[in-house]
Amino acid sequence: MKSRPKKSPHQAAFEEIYERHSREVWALVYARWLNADVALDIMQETFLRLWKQWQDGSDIVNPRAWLLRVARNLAEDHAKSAFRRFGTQAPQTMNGVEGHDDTPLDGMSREETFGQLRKELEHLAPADREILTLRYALEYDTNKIAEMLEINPTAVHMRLSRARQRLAERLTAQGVQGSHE
Amino acid sequence: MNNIIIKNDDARPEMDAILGEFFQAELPRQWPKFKAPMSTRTKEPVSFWSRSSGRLALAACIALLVGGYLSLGGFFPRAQAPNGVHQAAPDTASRPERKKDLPKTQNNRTDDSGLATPMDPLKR
Repeated sequence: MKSRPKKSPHQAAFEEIYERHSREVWALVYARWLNADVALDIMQETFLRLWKQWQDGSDIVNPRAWLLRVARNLAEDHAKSAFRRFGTQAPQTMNGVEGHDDTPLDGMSREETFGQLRKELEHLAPADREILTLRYALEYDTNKIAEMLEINPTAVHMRLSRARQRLAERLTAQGVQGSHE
Repeated sequence: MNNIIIKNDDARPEMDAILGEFFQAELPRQWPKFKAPMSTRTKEPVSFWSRSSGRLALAACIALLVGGYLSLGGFFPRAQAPNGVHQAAPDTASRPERKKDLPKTQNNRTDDSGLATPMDPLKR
């Protein structure tokens, strides 16, 4: 029976960083694009770059801050290339995910509700989307979000409340059930 | 401001449920593991020939040039110059100096005594 090749301490340390921060990096990019696949690609590219930096012997004091900064830059670069590919339209509007406004919403399926929610999320400020992603995708509490984004917990709470309320109002206006009482 | 918070509190349980379901569905079902890329910069042992083939080719070219020059030079007879130097062909670069005949000018005229008198008045 063949034994697995042992990981070097270097690689083990890197994998620990990946386990600890990869979801945050994903969430950050996802909040920018609302596209899970793009977020996954950019997250992997970000870690690949960190790996190369490690291989080259660069000393990165705060890998988490480095990762978040590079991920933000890559997300913005993707925005530029997406602009070249799709013009001023967001990619989601080009692949038919969104329905028309005059669709009867009473019988909306789960997917249709999500499509509507996605559309409304696009109208939110990126900072609000970031907080919502951290809260609902990663299930971070207010304090952890505040720590990650380096803002006041009260500000996080306020932003969360406003974002939820704005979404609820817009979905109610669209006739989505369960969004408001 | 209070109005917003109260309205939000009303909406919160439903919105929490919808948002939670939406974002959880967006998360990749199986989180990818990081696989360290294979290093593409591995150093392979370089053979002697691939390492020094360029130098060998250059050395061979120079040897061929020198050998060709020497072997071709043997086919042509060499003439011996008066100074003892072998010459394959007459040396055209070193010609014997010719005496230059200076044109006779008025200044070069001499009087009967043979001395040059540049300021000599014209004889009638």
